[in-house]
Amino acid sequence: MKRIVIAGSAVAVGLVTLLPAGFALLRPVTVLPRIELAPGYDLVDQNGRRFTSEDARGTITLYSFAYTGCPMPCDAVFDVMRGVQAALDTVDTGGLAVRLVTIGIDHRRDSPGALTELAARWGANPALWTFASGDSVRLLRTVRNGFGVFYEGMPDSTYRFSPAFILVDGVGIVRGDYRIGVPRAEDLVDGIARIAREARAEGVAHVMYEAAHFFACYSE
Amino acid sequence: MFLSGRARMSVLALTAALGPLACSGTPAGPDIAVEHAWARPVAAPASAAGGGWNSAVYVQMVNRGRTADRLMAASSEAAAAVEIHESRVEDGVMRMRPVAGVALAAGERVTLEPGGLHIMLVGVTRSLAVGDTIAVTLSFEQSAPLAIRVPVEQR
Amino acid sequence: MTWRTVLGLLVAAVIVTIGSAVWLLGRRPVQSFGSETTVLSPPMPAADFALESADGPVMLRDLRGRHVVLFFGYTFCPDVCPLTMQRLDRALDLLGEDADRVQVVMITVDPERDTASRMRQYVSQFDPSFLGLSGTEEAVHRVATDYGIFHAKVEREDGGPYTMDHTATVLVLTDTGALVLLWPHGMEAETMAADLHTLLGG
Repeated sequence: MKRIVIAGSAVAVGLVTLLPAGFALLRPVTVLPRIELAPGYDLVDQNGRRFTSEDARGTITLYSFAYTGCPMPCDAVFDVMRGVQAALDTVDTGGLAVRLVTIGIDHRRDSPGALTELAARWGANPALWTFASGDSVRLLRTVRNGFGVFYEGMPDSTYRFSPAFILVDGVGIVRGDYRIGVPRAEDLVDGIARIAREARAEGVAHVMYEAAHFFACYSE
Repeated sequence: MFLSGRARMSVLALTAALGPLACSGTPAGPDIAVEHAWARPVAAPASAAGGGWNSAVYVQMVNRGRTADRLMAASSEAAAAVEIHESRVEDGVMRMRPVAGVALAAGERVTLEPGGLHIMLVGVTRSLAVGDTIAVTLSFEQSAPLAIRVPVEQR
Repeated sequence: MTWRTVLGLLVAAVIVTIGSAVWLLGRRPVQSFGSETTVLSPPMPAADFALESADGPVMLRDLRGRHVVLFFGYTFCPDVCPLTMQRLDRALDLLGEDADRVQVVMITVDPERDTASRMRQYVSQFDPSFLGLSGTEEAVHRVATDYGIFHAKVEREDGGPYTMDHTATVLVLTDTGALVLLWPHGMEAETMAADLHTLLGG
């Protein structure tokens, strides 16, 4: 009897140690990493209304950056955003709101009127896709210091900038940062769906997601 | 109750005029009582970098009368200015705004408390320490002003 | 000992293991914190900052070794900010000796009116151990942006003194300067103390 108890305990202890190792190796659940806090900002949207980081809190938000009259590489950026907007219908977010935001980096030309035109040109659904901009100081603080997206005005009044797509969860944490090349809309939609699934998880499922963070089981 | 003499007289006159129509014990006009008033302590150092120091007064007001009234303003010897403000946390953002007054419906009790409506002492004239008392006068739309003594309390 | 017994034991062990693993993971780091608390496990790197206290410059890295409770406010605010300060003071009281391992820091969102010395005067009314920080407009904006704090000056139509709108979230950083908890506005002192107690390994 005593031997059975000892053997049983050994098996139990073994499994307790193996389970986390198994989790880390087998990666039954993967998550998007928590990268950093999304910046706090205070901008103006295409309707001339104040648009702040608090308006985005509580929704899964995909940020991109562009400017009025931008020849390259904005078309590619807008193509991707439009693709995401079109695909959102197919994503079950379980009632969680999703928002697309394009920040206009040209403080001189990205007026609410210009942003409205830009939004119309790319078929933006105003309920879903917000265009915002602000004065040069606010833009610098939000885009360059906050989101870490580099841009620089050129003498010919164009901008040199590296396109970036940044995915932020409802808590206000950056969960995806796509800035090498232009990502596929499917990948961004997949990221949105993953954040939504994780945010909705309760009980054991929630524990599994937290374990995935703990063991750094990040999705590719 | 601190109704001033004139207000008291007019209430009496009105009650007398209406005679049997007036329900006994319930004045025809507004009848405001103030309860549980307290002020937040604040140390106001002599150096005035960044302007004066502020505090807040909280009260409960009961309108025991039969018509509505409104708290319109307040003043105090303890502050350069007194304003009625409302703090609110909306969608995670803390906001504070001056309000144009506080409505007091007939029979209603309105509580001014931390995190909501408060009487803001803008630029206190001295440090307010626990145990001190300050004089505050509340002005209403209908009723005569009420002068109250407000203890400074740590709550 | 028959193979049946062995199998039975194995099944029991597996059930016990999975049960206890779920229970353990469920307790830490997920469920032992307040229901409104957002827990970041593992803690997330937080940006350093360079601000001014009444005693000179302070960077986040200077506070290593202590857990940091960080919140943003302004001294003109006579209502909500003192309420938060009082609750934090009470939370530290509830923590007892462990309070020495926690540093409460208030950063102004109103550097125009709040000098570093004014910040010290303000926070020391609530607890002399609290640290009040200010800085240049640029430095304050930088730290607020980095920590996801929206803030804006609100001018008044009647020309009275302006107020500030700002995010009311309280942030908790580990003793190595990583963000671990987010508290929404209005948390009770008891919950904050319990969260800090859990965080400090109680």
